Amino acid sequence: MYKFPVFYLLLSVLFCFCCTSAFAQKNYAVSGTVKDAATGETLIGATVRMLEIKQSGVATNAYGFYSLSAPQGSYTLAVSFVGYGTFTQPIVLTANTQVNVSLTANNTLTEVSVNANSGHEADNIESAQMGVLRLDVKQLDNIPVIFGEKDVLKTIQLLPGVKTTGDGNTGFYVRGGGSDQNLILLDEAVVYNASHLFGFFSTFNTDAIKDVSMYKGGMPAQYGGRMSSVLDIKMLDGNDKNFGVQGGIGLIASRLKVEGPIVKNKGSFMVSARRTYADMFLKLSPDSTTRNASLYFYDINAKANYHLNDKNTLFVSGYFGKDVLGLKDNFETNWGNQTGTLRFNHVFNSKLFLNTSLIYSNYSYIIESYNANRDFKVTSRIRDFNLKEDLQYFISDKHTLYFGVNAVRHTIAPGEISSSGSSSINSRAIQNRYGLEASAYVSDDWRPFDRLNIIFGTRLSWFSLIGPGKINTYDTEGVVTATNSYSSGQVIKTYFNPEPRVSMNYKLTALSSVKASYNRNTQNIHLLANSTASTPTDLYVMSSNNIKPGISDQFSVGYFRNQADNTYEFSAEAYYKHMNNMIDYRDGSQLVGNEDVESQLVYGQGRAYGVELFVKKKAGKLTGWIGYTLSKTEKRFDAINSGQYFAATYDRTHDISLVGIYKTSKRVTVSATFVYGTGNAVTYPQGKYRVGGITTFYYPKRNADRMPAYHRLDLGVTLDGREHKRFHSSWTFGLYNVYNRKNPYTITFRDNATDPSRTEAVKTSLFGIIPSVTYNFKF
Amino acid sequence: MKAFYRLAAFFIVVIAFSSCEKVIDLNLKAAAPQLVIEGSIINIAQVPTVRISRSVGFDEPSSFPGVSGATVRITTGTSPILLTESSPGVYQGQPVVGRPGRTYTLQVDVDGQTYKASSTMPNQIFIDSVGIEEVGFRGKIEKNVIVYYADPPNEKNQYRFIMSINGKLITQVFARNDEFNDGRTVRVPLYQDDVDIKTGDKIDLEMQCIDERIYTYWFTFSKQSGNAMGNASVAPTNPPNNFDTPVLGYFSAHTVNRRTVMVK
Repeated sequence: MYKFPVFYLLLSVLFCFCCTSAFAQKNYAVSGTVKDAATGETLIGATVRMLEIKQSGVATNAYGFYSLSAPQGSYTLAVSFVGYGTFTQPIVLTANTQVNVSLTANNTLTEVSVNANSGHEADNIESAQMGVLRLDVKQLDNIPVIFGEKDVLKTIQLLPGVKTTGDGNTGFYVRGGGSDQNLILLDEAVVYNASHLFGFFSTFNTDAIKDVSMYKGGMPAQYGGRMSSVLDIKMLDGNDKNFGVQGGIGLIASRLKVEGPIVKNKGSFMVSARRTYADMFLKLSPDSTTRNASLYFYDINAKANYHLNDKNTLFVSGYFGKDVLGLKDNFETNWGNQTGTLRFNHVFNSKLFLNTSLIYSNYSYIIESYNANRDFKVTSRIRDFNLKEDLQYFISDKHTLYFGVNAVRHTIAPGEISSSGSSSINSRAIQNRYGLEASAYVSDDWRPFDRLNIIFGTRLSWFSLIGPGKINTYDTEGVVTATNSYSSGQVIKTYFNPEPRVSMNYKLTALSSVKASYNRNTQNIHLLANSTASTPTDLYVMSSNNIKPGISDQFSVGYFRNQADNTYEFSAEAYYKHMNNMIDYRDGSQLVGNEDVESQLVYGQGRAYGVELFVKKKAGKLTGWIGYTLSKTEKRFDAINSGQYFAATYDRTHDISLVGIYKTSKRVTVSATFVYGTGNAVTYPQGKYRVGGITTFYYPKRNADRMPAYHRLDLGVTLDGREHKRFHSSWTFGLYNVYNRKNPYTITFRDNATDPSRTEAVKTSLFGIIPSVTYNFKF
Repeated sequence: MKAFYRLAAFFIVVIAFSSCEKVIDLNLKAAAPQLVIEGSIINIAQVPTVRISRSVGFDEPSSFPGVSGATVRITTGTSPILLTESSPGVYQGQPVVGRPGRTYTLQVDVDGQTYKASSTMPNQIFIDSVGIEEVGFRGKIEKNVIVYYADPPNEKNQYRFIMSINGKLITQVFARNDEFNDGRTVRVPLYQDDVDIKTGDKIDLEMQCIDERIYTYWFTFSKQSGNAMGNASVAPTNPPNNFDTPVLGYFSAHTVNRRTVMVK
């Protein structure tokens, strides 16, 4: 029913551009792939341009592919990427040509650890893409993080606009959006729970990662499904020329990576694994309970690729991770993600690139109790099957068209409880839910003249909740008003949402520009967190006849400026976001195993606005950045807090981060990180009273107070081993929370033990000062 | 489920070997004193008692002044019984025996405002037996009280347990329903950290069968800080009660079954 307007839209857009280019002079295209000369890894975001044409320049796509159009003639093709020497080659364009490029790494350059535009010296000025953060993965080595483990998510949180709520939590919050509003992709597969061990580590093993991009705003139309941000992580392909082993041994965890060619220069593989052994320390404990505890996680990233020929490449990648927490003969709980992606690139001609992906993603958690007469096993899972087609049509030097379609089938098993007959717990299966999500997008990257670049497009998204199932409809009080049964595949409810996306860039001078963007994002998978910390028992639900899709509208403007030789970068971005159909719980709801969880939900709105300032030094002995965000995030629900706006828990008024990396000598690098954030919004009592003989507290407003501020200084030293032919090693020493600040994790209230007529507030902190040592090797 | 959260909280502390607790001074704001009404009807002969008090600021001493001059009525059958003030804030009347299945209404008039609440007394379920469980936890042997009862099948039942040890009231609130164990013999461990139970201690237990709204009240109450035992809960709120006008407190018609055990 909706296919008709989409088809018309795509057709009319294509027609317009074909007409435009038909009237121009005869243009030809040079295209190809850009790779690392030593390893064969494709380079994402490398700049390719013709030196003679001022406004030319494209970035290689996610597979290292580029295509550049120009009128017939002779040019110099120049390809550059941060950390590599620039490649130039004279070419004569008389027909469509293919030029594959290999760049050689340039290790003498002192590089910055994080670029807001890694790969483009002045991309923050040139590109219309705003609200994006790119991480240069190679530089993560130098940023000190907890336990000495390099962590992509923890590093992203050091950038403005991306917030965390303190220790022990990898959930992150982007421009006022909740932690489930981030689309986290690993080689295009959705990762549902990106944290290990209750949030102390993320599921991303840095050794296996090639590129990390985070979109805070101005999301390109290719991405959809979440309201607040996109974290797009791409794995390394594997060295297709030589075998290599890389790894590290640390206090808490160790990792190992093996990579090499399948067929030299044609195909390669990469396998990387990681495991903690924190539970080994538990075995040394004198207490028998602690000795019998198991506490560990492992994860494996694997990838293989093969170039069938110049035009066709096949990729297979997968991720398997699991966390286990248990007490022998008592209980065990485990949870984990498994993802698998099969991708096929096809280059039709020098202007049209296609990628087809087949994706499987599964997140499940199991709680099992072996206790004699209370045995039970709770299993919950969310599983996706996804087919994607993405095309890029490099029409001309003024237009690049992106379009594609995507279909996902979701299955959510919210919780199945099985128990033995003698157990005091009943078996129960809560019905599975099935959903179908489909989308189509088209977007044009348009450069009408030198100073102006506009990316505009739209994404159309459909969501249908389908049977089989017995579905209740609830009123605002949570009372059932109707119950209907549906057969397999029968549509229960459909939502259609167009999501317009526009962003533009106007260059004021060669070194400064202003940008503006507007985008609408919708979300149909919602995470119901049953506590303020993220736990693996959080429930996933889909949009339904009771739950509407979440919708966010974001406007942002920004001013970007580089200093003369692009050593310094400065940016100031301001945003306003409005969110509709936000979900929260009714007071007094119970969540685990609640068949009627939708009866416990209330709906409302949110709004977030703020300013992000960022200064970065990219070259020299000292590099680093300072980020400051001033912001406010509020929510409003009719059923909560008397319908008044209240601050979101993760609202952080001031958020400051400073990162400095100083290369003292050829082999020694010293780094420091300082973070400061206003405390989380919290509901403190404003009075106490007694019922049932127990003192309890009066809470007049939700989240009207703040926890004490969070701040912390970390230091790190990296010592590179002596240069050997094929063997490199380094030692990393870190000190987390150098001045031992006891940042609050929770604050609770209780009667004073010695004087029960007084009540006191108790602050619990997680981490004091923690040293770490890691030994890294590579050969 | 509670055991899982307790052990999970233990693990978080184990990983974070340098964590700690500290009493801090928060300088909390003080709201105006709020009215609190607490009343109940039980199924054994008892003087019906309604306590009306006001809240005090967090930093003030925990003595809660009673509110005098209120008009308090309880409707048991057709005509209401007027309760009279026996001591400041405490209103009592003639002994009443509540009956399962009956609905009782409390009406309080204070300072020109009327507060009304109704509660229906559920059927009585009895404690089957009481046991003591010994668990090795972090190097010590801990004793926990376990209550056993038979939940009737095919009806919704809600329970509350009150425990005193050697005369000291345990401040942990235990509220359970039969969502997961309808019709089964239920085993409820009463974990608390107010008192270290030792041999020779006297345990006084009361099992109440409460209605659904009162269950929601006590369940939400148990999630507030001070009661949560390491379970980081959703934002705390005043527990939703069964009064028609916003006020703190509750009115509950419930059955009681009491048992005393000596710990061996």
